[in-house]
Amino acid sequence: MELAEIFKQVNEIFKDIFEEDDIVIEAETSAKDIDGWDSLTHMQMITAVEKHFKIKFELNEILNFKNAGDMCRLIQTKLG
Amino acid sequence: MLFNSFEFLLFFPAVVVLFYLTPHRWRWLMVSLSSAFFMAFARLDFVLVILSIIMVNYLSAILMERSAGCYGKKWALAASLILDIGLLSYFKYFNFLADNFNSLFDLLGLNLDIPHLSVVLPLGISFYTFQAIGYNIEVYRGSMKAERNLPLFLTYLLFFPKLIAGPIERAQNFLPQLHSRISLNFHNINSGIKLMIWGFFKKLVVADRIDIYVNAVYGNIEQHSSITLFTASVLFAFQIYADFSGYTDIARGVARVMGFRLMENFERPFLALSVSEFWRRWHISLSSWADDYIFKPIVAQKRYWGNWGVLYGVIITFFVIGIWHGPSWNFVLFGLFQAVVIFYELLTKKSRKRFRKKLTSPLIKGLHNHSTRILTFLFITFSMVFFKAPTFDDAMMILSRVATFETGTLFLGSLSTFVFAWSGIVFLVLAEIRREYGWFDFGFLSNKYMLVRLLKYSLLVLIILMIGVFDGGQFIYFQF
Repeated sequence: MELAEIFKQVNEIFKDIFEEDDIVIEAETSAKDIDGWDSLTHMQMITAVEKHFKIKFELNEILNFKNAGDMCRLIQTKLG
Repeated sequence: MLFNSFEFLLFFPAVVVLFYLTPHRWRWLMVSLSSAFFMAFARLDFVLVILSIIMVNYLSAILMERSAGCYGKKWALAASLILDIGLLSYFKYFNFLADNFNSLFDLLGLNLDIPHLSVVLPLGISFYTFQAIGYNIEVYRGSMKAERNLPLFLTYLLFFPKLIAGPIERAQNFLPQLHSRISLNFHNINSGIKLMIWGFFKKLVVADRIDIYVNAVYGNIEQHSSITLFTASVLFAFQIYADFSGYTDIARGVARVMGFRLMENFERPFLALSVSEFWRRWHISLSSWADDYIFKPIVAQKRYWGNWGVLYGVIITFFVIGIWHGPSWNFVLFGLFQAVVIFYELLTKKSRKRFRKKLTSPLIKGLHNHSTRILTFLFITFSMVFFKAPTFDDAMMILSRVATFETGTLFLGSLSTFVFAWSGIVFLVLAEIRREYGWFDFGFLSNKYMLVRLLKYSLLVLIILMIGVFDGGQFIYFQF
């Protein structure tokens, strides 16, 4: 899948989790940029992403996510 | 050696001069040796404890990096964690565990009678073991390289400004600083000394003055009225803040004079609007450590449990934060109270956000903010009663007496103590509000003219010398 398409789909998940329709995520978007991004919403978002793309992240991978870009690139790798 | 001691007054300038005179490649050996001397001043055998922690963690990190397989890496990490936690538990928690097991077996009708150990808690052990653990986890995760230069690694854990009570400095922040060449810089010396003066003000003028009042009240709980116990509890919250953040400012100032940047440990915690926010502003080096190495891994692993996974993570994290402070159920309770409130805040975050959005009037919004701020402060004050009271029964007695609102006069103690303590608090709070909001040009310590700044700092030193408490003893966090 194209990275841009992954970003688009992840963006929809973000809108849903954070209940904000105007969220636009970029590669550098991190917890600092989105109001309400805390440990609870973070894990809700990770599990929603796993379910949506039918993938599973390793513990180390989740802990190493620095921003949305890291996650989207990893999704792309996992989807092959 | 205490920062507020005569010995330190001689030790510190001597080390700074030696530091800048020593060539770069010998510097870390020099800093390690003087830090070992700093610690040996308390007790020589404390140095042996920290050296054993250093050697094990130094070697295990290198081993982890060398082992190709996942298995070897895990074993090296496990071995270092067992030693770090084992040594910390041996010194800090053995007698506590023995007492609890003895009581438990007593209840079951068995006489176990595990004897007590007579060991002294090595200074700073809770701080440097946590730094060592953090370092090893980072190397295990592959986010940093193992440090091969032993004098440099020795300096990371021994560095005397943060040796006794932190900050719990991250290896990824500190080790790169050791690799760079530090040259004599007027700005570092200037800003470092200013930070130290501000720290001494908080400690000697504010914290130790409050200490006199709080101890007079907490030392004699039965004799005091509801209002007095409440006042003493509020004052204790300010005391511990002034004491610990004062210590941290001195530690950071001392380090800065030598060209190092230690992390911020406090960001105006009493202005927090929630308990979760309070913990992002209070003892940041510990709370962020617990967040990175306990909370996040647990929550990530238990993410399919939903809210239960988060609750589990919050409870374990704050249990560790609580008991990290000392082997007592009061500290455990202190931690668990935080966990319960933070979990509630996480669950209700969205609804509270929606509620705030509905508040359109700036006045109502402001009132809402101030009331949540005061509520947060009162909760922290309440939980700190368990921090200060020596036993659970004492804490309960204080709380029940406060809750009865029984009439009685406010105990003032010595009037000068009461007035100086409150004046110090007002000064401290104004300085914090200014830094947080930049509301008014309080600018006590800043001015464009150097002479004016110098005069102001001289005045602060004069205030410290005149109304500082010089027999107040050690910093509260040294006991942890």
